[in-house]
Amino acid sequence: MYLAILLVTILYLYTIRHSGKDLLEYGIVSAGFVLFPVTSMLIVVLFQGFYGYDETMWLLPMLVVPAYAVAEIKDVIPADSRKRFLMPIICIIIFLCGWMSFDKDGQTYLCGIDDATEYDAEFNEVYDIIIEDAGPAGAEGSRKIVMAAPREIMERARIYDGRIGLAYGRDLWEVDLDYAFYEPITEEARDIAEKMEEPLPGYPSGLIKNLLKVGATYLVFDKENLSYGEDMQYPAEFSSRKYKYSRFSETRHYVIYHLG
Amino acid sequence: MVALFVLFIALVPFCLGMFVRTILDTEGQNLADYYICGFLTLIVVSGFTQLAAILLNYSFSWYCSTLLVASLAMSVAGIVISVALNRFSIKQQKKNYRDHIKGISRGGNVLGLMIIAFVFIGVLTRILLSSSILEGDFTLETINTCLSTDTIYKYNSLTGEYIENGMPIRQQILTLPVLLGFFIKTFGLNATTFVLKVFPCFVAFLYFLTLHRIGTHIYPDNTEKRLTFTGIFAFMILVGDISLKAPSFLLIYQGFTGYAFLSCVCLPYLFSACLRRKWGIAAVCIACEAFTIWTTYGVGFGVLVVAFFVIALLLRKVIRKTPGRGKEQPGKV
Repeated sequence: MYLAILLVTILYLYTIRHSGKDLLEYGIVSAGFVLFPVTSMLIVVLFQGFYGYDETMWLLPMLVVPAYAVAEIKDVIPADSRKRFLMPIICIIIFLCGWMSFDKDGQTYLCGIDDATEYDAEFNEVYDIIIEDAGPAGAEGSRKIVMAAPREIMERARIYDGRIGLAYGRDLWEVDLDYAFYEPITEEARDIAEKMEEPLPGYPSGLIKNLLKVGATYLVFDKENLSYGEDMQYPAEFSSRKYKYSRFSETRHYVIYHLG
Repeated sequence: MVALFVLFIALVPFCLGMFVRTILDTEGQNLADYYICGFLTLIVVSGFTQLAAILLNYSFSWYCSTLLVASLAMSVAGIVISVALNRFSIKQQKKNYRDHIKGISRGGNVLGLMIIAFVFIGVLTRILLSSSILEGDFTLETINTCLSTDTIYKYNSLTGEYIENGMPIRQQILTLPVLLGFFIKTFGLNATTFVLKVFPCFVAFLYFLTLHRIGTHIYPDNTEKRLTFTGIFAFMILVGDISLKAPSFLLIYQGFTGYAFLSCVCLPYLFSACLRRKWGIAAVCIACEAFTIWTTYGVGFGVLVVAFFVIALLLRKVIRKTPGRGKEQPGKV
């Protein structure tokens, strides 16, 4: 709708033949280039497809020209009705065309970690447990942290602390991030990401093999995906021939293992 | 340390702006120009320092200390040269300020100014109370990686692993996360609060400063119209998050990203530079863009804005020469 407002104000300025300090001319040229399909496609090609059509709107004087037109229109309207009706009507139109018209429902996105929710506090607890177990960075005997966990924990780990390494990054499920690094995502990483979200069989040999391959040193499992053993406890360890992951801590919803 | 940061961010961009103005020899700038241009220059200096650190294999600490020294040295040089060449006249600035206040002192204009201030507070409130959208962005991860490994783009920000296969050079020169890391490391700031809340508020402040500059150029003497222009523009910022890529949306939910900085500060200020035919400042904006977002080897939105402007000026010349165009009203002040 702001685009419609821009086009209407350009038309208005053109109609009253206002030279408008280059605003009108720039508005016409930029609208022509951005809105005409051939030139807008050429702009997208110029950016090698990295930016889409939405970003080309940054080239339009979407706010400058309408604001200028409103400032100029006050000269045209008689003083009394201008004072009473013009500015409130314009503000209402701007408001209705703006925020209220954009539907944010259904948009799921990663919230800032400063939003205090029950789960956020638990995620921070998991990170703190792992960092404490690993020991001070650079100290003798400290462990390197390479974590594999359910997605909601993986997403925020490196935002919380840069010391927490991950078996795979957010670019595995956020395709918008796949431009940044040339590191390929391995099949083992994809398999781990899938299996960490599912209920685990009694002994997940394939998963453990892949985790060892990617060098994971810490595992975090959702308690809902683990089954009790005969001792009514979560599995004490997952071992292979040479290595084993031992359970060493847990929070309300998660069980944490480290490479022993 | 927070006080030192406030002092740094208040003074250094301003003095850097004086340095740039001296080099570019541009007239007709006001205090807002000094500040905005200075901050854009800080980003450019940060970009070149980062590039040097990457090519010479120096650490993030080296980058921080070099940037600090370079920015302070350029700031001092800016003050010294401006005073020596009499480019910054305190008398002129006092006169501008008095004229400004005189224009505002009428009742309606004071109300207009209060409305704009109210809208600005509204924007800040939306930024502070809204959850930041971190999807599709890894600024915080990059900052934390720089801080924990003391390197720049040597380790994968998303996993923490050493980068074996390299990284696009156009990604390596993106300096905004590293510059934010510089502030966090040098002044001991909390990374999450600074990146998700403080910096977006600062970007909002620069946005309003830029829009004030555009208004001052379009209406240098008509305070009432300037306030109307600024007020409507500001209101459109407050309620204008009409799409995921709209500048207002980016400012409120992703104000820490390069896209928000570009669409809210860099491009509008470039636009105002083109309006004033200040091509030197336009070059600074284009250089800043190359270090802020992914461009096609430096050719980005800034170059297109300048190109459109040039086309618009040529178009106007052609139309004026065309017979039967009719009389135009001259651009009103």
